[in-house]
Amino acid sequence: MTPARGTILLVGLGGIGAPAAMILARSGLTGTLRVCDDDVVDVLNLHRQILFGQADVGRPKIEPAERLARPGLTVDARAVRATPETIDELLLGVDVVVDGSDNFATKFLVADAAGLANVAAITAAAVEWRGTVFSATGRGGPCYRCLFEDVPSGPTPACADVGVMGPLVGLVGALAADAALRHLRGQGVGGELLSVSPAGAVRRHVVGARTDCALCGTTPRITRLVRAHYTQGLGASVGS
Amino acid sequence: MSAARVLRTLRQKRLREVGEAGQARLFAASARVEGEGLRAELAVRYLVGAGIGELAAPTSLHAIARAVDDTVQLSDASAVEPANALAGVPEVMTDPEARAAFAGALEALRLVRSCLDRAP
Repeated sequence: MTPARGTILLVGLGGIGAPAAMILARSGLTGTLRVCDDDVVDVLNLHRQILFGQADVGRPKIEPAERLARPGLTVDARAVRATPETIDELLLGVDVVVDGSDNFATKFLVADAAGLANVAAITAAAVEWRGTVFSATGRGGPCYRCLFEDVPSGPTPACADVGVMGPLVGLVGALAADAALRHLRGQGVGGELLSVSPAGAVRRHVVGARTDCALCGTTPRITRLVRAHYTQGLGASVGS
Repeated sequence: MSAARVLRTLRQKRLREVGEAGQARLFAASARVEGEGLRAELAVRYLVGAGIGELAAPTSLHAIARAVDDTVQLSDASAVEPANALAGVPEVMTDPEARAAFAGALEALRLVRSCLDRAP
């Protein structure tokens, strides 16, 4: 296996980010693993956020991530939330971003910012018993908006309301980390959508680009980040 | 039952297929994890996270379990990697560590599902 080399940004150290960070650190990745999360560990996180134990409750989530550094791999842990104001700096020098955030507004923000900066983006989500992992190469379409178009305007299921199966989230984190490593090894597939069933079976589809896509279409409407695009639906969660 | 274990599993109990009855069965359930590396580590970590009451696992992994739940009953199991440890890992995955992690989470998922009356 060719060692992967480059800079990966991991947005969110929750149920998806925790296993993804552990995998990326042990994969032989050479370069930088940048992680961002401004949250602290809650006891309610512990069933699925496997980077943390009882002793971490109340502590910043980025602290255990700092201990994942290896010879050849720098961990750049930032207690920062991905927002329209912070995302460009977070993406500086990044080859591929893995989004494991817990709401649609952040997912669209990260996907748009990555698309505008020509950075590959892996968008991962899980709630209840299902999950998805979508890959965009960052060099034109297909992108996340070719598939999902826009931030949902109505209520969407949140882990706190409907619950989430911990090991299922782990499957999603593993698929997301693998997709990021495949990208760094030159084997990434733009438009690849992996969906995970409640029994842990994975189906793969490759989504085509849409010529009328707001981000990567022939006449894009999104040419810069506008805060108002990422506030609607805030609090609308897709799991963590 | 420790208050921490009850709190930790709330997000899982909220799933309608788990509920009070399913979570009670998980608290009373026992599991065995053999082998080492990320697969076994993640299987242990997710099983303890799910509230499993008794776990047999290689001694080297006991600290991972205790860091999450200091009341889980632990015993020893073989550190030899079982045959077919990576069964069920999709072919699309190429990185060995990612494949191992997937297999560990899948092992835990299957055990949790086996404790439920009606897994989706």
